[in-house]
Amino acid sequence: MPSHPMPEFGSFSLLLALVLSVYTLFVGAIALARSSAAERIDNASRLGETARRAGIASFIAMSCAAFALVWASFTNDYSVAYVLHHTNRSLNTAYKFSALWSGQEGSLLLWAWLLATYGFVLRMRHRVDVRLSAFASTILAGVQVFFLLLLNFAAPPFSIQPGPTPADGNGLNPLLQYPEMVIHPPMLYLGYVGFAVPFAFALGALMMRYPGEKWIHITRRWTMVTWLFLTCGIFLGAHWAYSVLGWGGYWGWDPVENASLMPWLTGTAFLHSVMMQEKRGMMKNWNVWLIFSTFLLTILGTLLTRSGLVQSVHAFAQSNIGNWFYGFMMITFAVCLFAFFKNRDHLKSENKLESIVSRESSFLFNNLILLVACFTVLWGTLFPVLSEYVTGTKATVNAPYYNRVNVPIGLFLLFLTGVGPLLAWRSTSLRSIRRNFILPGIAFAVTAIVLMIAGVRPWRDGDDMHATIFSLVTFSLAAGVITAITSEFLRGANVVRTQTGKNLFLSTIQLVQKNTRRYGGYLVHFGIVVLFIGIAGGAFNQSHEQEMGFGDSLQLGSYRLVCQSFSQDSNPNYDTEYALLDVYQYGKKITQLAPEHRFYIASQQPSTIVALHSTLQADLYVIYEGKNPDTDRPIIKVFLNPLISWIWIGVLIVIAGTLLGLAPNLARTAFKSPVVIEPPLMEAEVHHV
Amino acid sequence: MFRLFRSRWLHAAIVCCVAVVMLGAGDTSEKRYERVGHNMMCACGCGQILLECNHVGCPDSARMIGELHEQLAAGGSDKTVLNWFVEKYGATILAAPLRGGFDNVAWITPIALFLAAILGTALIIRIWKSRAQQRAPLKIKGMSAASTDELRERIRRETHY
Repeated sequence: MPSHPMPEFGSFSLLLALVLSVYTLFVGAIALARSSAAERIDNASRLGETARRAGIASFIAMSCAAFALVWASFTNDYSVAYVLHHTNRSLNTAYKFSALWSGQEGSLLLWAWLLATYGFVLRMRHRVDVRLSAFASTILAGVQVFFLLLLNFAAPPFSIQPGPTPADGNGLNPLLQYPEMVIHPPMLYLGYVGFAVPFAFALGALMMRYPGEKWIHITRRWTMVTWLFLTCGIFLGAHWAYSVLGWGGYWGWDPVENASLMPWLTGTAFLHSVMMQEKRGMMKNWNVWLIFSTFLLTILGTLLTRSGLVQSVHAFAQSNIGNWFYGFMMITFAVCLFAFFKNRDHLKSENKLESIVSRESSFLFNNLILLVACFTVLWGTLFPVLSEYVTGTKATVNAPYYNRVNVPIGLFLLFLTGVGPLLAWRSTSLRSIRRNFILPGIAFAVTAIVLMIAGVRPWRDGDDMHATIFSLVTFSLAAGVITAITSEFLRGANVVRTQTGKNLFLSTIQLVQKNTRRYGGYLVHFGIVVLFIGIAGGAFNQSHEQEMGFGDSLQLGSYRLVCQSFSQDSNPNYDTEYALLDVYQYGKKITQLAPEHRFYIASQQPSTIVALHSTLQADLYVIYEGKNPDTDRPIIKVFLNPLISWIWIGVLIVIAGTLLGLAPNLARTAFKSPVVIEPPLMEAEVHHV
Repeated sequence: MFRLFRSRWLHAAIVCCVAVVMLGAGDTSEKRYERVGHNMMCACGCGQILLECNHVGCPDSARMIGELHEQLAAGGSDKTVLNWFVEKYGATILAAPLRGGFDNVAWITPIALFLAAILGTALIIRIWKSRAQQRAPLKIKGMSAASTDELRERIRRETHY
């Protein structure tokens, strides 16, 4: 029997990681049960420390397993079934690496490795709060045990291919052979897996009846970083869909896309509502359940992708491991429910809402709307299953449903994005409402009027009325919200300018440095507004399909495309057909585009390579649809998609805003000594309040 | 300003604006084709909307688009056209639950939840607000230093983030 040292090393590493994680879980739990709340766990129990170290060792074992699979992929070890099914010799090096997450077993290995990495960081930083970290570490170990059970017994990545080793592999799915696919799944998984950390902290804090809100401070960065990864992952996926799938859009409301959006929505709600707990000790029950739900939704997302429960065009790795996920979700839910009921008196709110016109209520509405949006996505995703169960026939729920239901919800959220930050905590006076809302209100009205004059008229013949109304409202709301955000920056900057005498630009920088979290948040809101503007552009999409011979031209909007040539080519990985098209705008040649159609030899699958000319105004999106067998001439489909670039710019602004929010406040380091306040001033301040 | 919002003239102006917006909302054949075609899936199993299916050599989309043109030209309503496709290809050909009956639940549930969430929140805030008003006002004069510090810390927490 031939030996397979690397796959055996990988299998052994996985088994070792399982043993170590089981040790971390059980010994960690025993140590926590034995230790008293007053003692530091590492002093109280050496057992707890051994559990922590076992957790760290499990990360090393998991890294060895991940390395073994990557090594097998790079060395073309086709004795490993997974490598055989997802790579081939002529595959580009980067894609050999990305093969790690191209199939079921590899994806689960990536999940488990990322979880081990997060666990490693958490366990190394345990001194932030030893006892809470011990709780979180034990809970994370529980999640890790589930994934390692899957990897060791249900979906082993190092299965040996029976019979003689084939000379070459089956190749990677062509849709995955795209640069973004090298970073999109890891980003998404970093987001998915990352929510396990705030979940573990929240559950741990609840179980140990953690005093105060410090656990929120500890987990704030974890949550923000995780949210950022998930945001990047989702939009990299959207950009990949736009650039690769070749249907002219970026979001198809596919169940797998929906699965990534749901935890993002609840995670966003959590990021907002924890502020209320931090500031006013409110919404504790709500926050705990929000983070529980977010984590359960990440597991549900993985279940939807893997189990075949719902049909998806890009569920690349379906299998029958669904029952494992159902079991895990039920156990997790039961543990959360038990911990909640046992300790619910600990989650008593310190304050209540005092006014409907306040920052708190705007957060509450924002949370509810985000949850309604999440429910709508979940409802639409699962409705086909429900419909089949109730009526016996499956219903299809696709883009028309989601667009009709979610667009009004999205607009309401956009409205709250502008309104929320303008309201004061506790209660807002009428005077303040008038002062803060007059400019954004004017911006809204003026934009609506200007756009209608410029031609965005829902009543105009030939337009989709609903889409035009929604885009008109979006653009107008966007103007209002941008005005509100700008005025917030200017108001603060003017105060700094008055105090320091600096110019407006430097004052704004100082203002932002003083409160990075607040102004980072505003920047994120601004990015979201830009993103909405990009989405609203979709109401004005145009497309045209035409067979094009040499010298034929096609007109769409202000663009004219002239076919210069069409040909074919070949390399060891794929055969390709392409057309060369000169693009003219207002009679002037601006670029040449070469849309392609590829046929991958190893996997025997076709793929479209979109040719794109992108500007701030619109994207010219060209697809080579194939050849007409009768005339042997290429069929070219062209889309003119307005404002698409704004979506990607908006995402970059969101990323910048989140990074700014993660940066420490410079002002805090500048004022290290406590400020001494004279008694009369103190009294005045108290009376003022 | 707020008096203006309550004025009848403003209400009348809003009604006129809405009426003008709705005037001339016509329905061309191209618009109908786009609308109905975007409410159907391609039957080839690609999971794409009929008018967006971009498979090379798709066995179904070209034929279905031809059928759609024929049905629209026959003069039936959107519902009649969609029903014709449902009869021929099955219910999964619709891109959204549009058959009526249980399909209505798909549309009603999120809207009902949305309204219930808004109204419920408003009601809860109202109840909390009335309870807060019933509580005795906070005494500030004559407070101990410790209480004042606590209040100051609360002010700091609630006004700075």
